[in-house]
Amino acid sequence: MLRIIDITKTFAGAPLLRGISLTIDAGEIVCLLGPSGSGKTTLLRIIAGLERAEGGRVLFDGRAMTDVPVHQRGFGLMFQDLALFPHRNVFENVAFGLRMQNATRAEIRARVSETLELVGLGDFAARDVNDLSGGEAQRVALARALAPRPRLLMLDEPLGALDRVLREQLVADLRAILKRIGMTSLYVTHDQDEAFAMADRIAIIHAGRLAQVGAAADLYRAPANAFVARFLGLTNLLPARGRADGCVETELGVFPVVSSVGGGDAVALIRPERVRLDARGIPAHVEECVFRAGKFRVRVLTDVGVRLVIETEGALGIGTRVGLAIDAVEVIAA
Amino acid sequence: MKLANALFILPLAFLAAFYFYPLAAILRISFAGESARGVWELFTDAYYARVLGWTIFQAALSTLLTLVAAFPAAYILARYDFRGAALLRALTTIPFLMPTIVVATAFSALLGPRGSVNLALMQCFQLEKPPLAILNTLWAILLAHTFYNFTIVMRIVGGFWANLDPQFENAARVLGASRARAFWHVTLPLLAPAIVAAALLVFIFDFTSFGVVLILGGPRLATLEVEIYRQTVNLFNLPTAAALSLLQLVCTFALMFAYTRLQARLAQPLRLRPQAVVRRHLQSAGERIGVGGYLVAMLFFLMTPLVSIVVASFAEGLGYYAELFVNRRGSITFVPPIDAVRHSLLFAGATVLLATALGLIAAYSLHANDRQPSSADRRHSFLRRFPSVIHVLDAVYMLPLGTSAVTLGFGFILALGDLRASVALVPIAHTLVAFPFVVRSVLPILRSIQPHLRQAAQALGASPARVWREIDLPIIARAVLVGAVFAFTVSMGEFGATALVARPEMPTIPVAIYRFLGQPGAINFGQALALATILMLVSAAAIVAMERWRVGDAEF
Repeated sequence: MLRIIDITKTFAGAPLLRGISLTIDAGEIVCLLGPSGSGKTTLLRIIAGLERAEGGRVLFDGRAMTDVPVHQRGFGLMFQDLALFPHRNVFENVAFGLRMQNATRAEIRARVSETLELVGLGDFAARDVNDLSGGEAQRVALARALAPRPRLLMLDEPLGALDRVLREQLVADLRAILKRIGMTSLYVTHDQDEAFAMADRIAIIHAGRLAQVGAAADLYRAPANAFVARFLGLTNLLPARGRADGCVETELGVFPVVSSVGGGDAVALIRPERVRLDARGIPAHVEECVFRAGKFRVRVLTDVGVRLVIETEGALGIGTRVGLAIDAVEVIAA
Repeated sequence: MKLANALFILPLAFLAAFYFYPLAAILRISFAGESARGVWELFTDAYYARVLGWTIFQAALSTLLTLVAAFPAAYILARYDFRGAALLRALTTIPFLMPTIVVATAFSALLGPRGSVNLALMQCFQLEKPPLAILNTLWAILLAHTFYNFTIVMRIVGGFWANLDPQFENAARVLGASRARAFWHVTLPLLAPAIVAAALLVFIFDFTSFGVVLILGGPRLATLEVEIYRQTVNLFNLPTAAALSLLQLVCTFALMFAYTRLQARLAQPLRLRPQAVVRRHLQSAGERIGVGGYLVAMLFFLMTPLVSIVVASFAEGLGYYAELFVNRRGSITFVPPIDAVRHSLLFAGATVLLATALGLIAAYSLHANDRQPSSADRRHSFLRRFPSVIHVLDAVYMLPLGTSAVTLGFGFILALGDLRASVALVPIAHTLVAFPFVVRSVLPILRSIQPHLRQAAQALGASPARVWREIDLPIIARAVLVGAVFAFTVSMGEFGATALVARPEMPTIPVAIYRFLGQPGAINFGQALALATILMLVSAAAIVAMERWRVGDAEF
């Protein structure tokens, strides 16, 4: 379906996108995940045609999109601020794209009510868009983007402005709607929970390149590099040097390796669940202890000055002396 | 984008041809002749110093009087909450928005030898001659200027005062200051920037006032503005007029510059409070009588002159109005007066079209810069490379507002010799004055349109032209309408430039009124009143329309 090849773009003289390639299959939801300023919105705007890439190509069904103007691409786009037209009511907003396609009045009416029904706003047609709640406005924006039956739907942090509880519910609804109609979608966000809940595949963007692309579980199980690991909340990373016996040497000692990815500079990833409390282990003391999801997340500082996050069954008081035993580490690219 | 860039040249070309070129002509004449005689005389001939001195004197005195008269109004509307306050505030605006010629006629109708006050006094005391001889004295000018600019002081000072935290004054009182001393030592210094800004603006208006001084003051009391007109039209002494215009230009630019600087400083005031917290109801009987008495006097002062025009215009029933349809002199330069109404509407229509089109283009050219730095065409636009160009452009578009009308008209006469007889000069002059208002009305609304709205429409399949029609147009329509109505009002009432460039056989309403006022006899005066009444009603209708359609607060 959508193929982007080696897209490059500079912003204010500095490279923003350094050659991004990605393919999205029909009916697939791909999330572009990255910190703010990583260029993910720019990539979206390039695909939409609102900006021009300096290098690379955008292909849709094998056809080059470069010289097709925005309004003829047939892509849907949902903005973070939703950009509902303030001078038109809900019906008119949703009908806009159909009017641009010169649909007949009857078609427009049928399609608008069908789409509003789909997003769960069946009786909202006559409402003023300025009177909608955050969640309602978000659904209207979705309906507006879906009504003209776009070939590809792009969503630019569409839930960014909403509060956490509402967001979690809407992510689930949004995914259900997109899956029901089989919409090919590209979803941009900086929130990994949102990406995990939304996507079939996640593309993590970092420093103008795609750091890793894959299903959520694969990324979590085997992060390709330190950036991806850190971005997914795996923060126990130590510089590592390989040894002839297959183990690695770090500041905290020598550990066996369970898996190893790539060559060059390497770091050891220590998952919290692989760290045990052991009085004879590496000496450390507790800095912080927070209860989360049935367990305690504990930040410790070892006597040699390395911070680690571990998980324990019971609470530990701040300052408590502990000993740590690390069973094994994973080695990933730095 | 190529087409847009080409369009953006239009307002600049218009200004170049009809603003800078005429101004350059004034400079040329001033510096021409034996060793720049015009400019040299500015420093050597006492005549110029006398005119300038008088202009400053009357403007300063008028400003002082306006400040004193309107200061209580500012206080009352800032600090008291009572029914009808909004209406009262709206009513005080009417004089300011009236054409100068109407105001001048109003004071003639009230205080002139045939004015209602004198007629009443003559009837009461069986007098032979009108007892009040205020016309053609400084007093008439002062009164009319105060009447005119009352609302400026009330609004600028009152607006600032309304948001000023009363805690400052309370703190002074707790520390042992009497009410008077708290006001003098705390409130007044805090208000000072607003007072100075209001005073400066009023001074600018009084300094460049034309119709009022010409009609109520007469040739003996000529200010710079009137003197330029007199030297041009009556004496045809172009070098002297050019030197006077140069003087006028330098003064107005200096004043406008000072005002702009001051306004920027005023924009960052101290701790402000929402007005509701600060307002209170009238309490003691003394307060009620004091405030009530002042407000009644204020309304009387602001409304009587206008009402007296209408009343006096019906003195002969509809006689004066019927007279408008008669061509008494039958000469080529004197058409039936009602034709003036026709001309005015014609010119106003042309002005509306021209000013709206140019204003819209100018607003878009200014707006092109501050769109988000995302559009692909950014690299191609010359204007965006240099943001400072936009700031200069913004100021350039406003220049005509800082130039006196008579100077503009005089520049036209000097520079556009071949076109001088052309009918088009009047609407062009009016457009010069009106189009900055269109820019000011449209630009804030244009800036309020989020770029995402246009992009969303694009993504939904709207072509660029369609985006403009579906998004921009509906959103800016009201602002454009307000700008257009303003252009209409400006054109209907404009007198200074028109007096110089209008062809004799094509007078506008203000020019016709001026001619009638200069003729002896009750019929002529009556026709002036009838025309002024018509003009006043048109202006009033326009004011109401603008208030209706205005979105948010337009920039002053």
